[in-house]
Amino acid sequence: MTDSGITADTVAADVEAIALAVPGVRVLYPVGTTGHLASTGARLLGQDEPTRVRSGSGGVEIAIGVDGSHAAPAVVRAVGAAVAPLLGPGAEVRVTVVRIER
Amino acid sequence: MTDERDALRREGIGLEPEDLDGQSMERLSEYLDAGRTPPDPAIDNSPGCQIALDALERLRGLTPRLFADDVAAEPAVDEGWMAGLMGLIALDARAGRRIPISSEFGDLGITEGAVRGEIRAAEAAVPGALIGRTRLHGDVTVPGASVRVALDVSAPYGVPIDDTVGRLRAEVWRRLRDHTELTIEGIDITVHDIHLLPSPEEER
Repeated sequence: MTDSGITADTVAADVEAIALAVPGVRVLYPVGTTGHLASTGARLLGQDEPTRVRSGSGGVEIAIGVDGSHAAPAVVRAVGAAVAPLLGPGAEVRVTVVRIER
Repeated sequence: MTDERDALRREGIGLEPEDLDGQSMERLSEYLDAGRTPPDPAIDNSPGCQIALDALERLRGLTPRLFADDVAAEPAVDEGWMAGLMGLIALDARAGRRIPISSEFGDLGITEGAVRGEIRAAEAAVPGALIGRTRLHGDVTVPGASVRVALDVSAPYGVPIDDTVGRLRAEVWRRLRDHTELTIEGIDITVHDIHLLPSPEEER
């Protein structure tokens, strides 16, 4: 819980929703580990889905699949610009395109 | 191709199942056979597996024609080359290096695996072309650094090789221009093999 009463989970949910609303973003993939390990880890924790937004005091990290009809650099920049205002001073957004979707 | 796989093993780049987030190419092939049902989150949540599935689907669209028994007296495509291709698809699907994308908002990038997947997908725009090994030469992690792309290709018999190579180069160039900020110095395409494609009459 932060001073403003916003939890990390809330931030993650907001980041996920905002990123998915950016034209050209098709899907968010689990961050920071492989899909296999992420899915296994989620099951062990009793979660249906692995974490798709990694958040901490330093900022947030997401991995996106971009629709092939959109230019990936423009999409990833739009995601960065959309998510950055959610974060506190000094926090950084890290966005990686991991697949061009067809 | 076998030599290439051996060389990759010597370089420490294994072709083990974990290269595809714990999934073997056989498992992915079965998943494709089953129409991707029932959904397997371990595969669906893995961009590497999804990139490999994309390539497998394209390959499947072509291989029944390549391996048709009555196509011709000559082998349509070398089966060893095809077996090696499966390993290369798995290698290409790995995330690899992170290629930066410029921005005033944060740390943005695209994985080498996503880029290689897009390079390989160029074969869909050039009928009969099969892309083997793909390589990005140069330090792609440094913004603005010059990069050369190298592709090994099997070209369809009966189509001028210059045409196949020219179309493939243009398609790869377009995809890299659209989806990366790489400074492409050149795209080197080596045709390693020629394979037969059946005529429309033979396919019927």
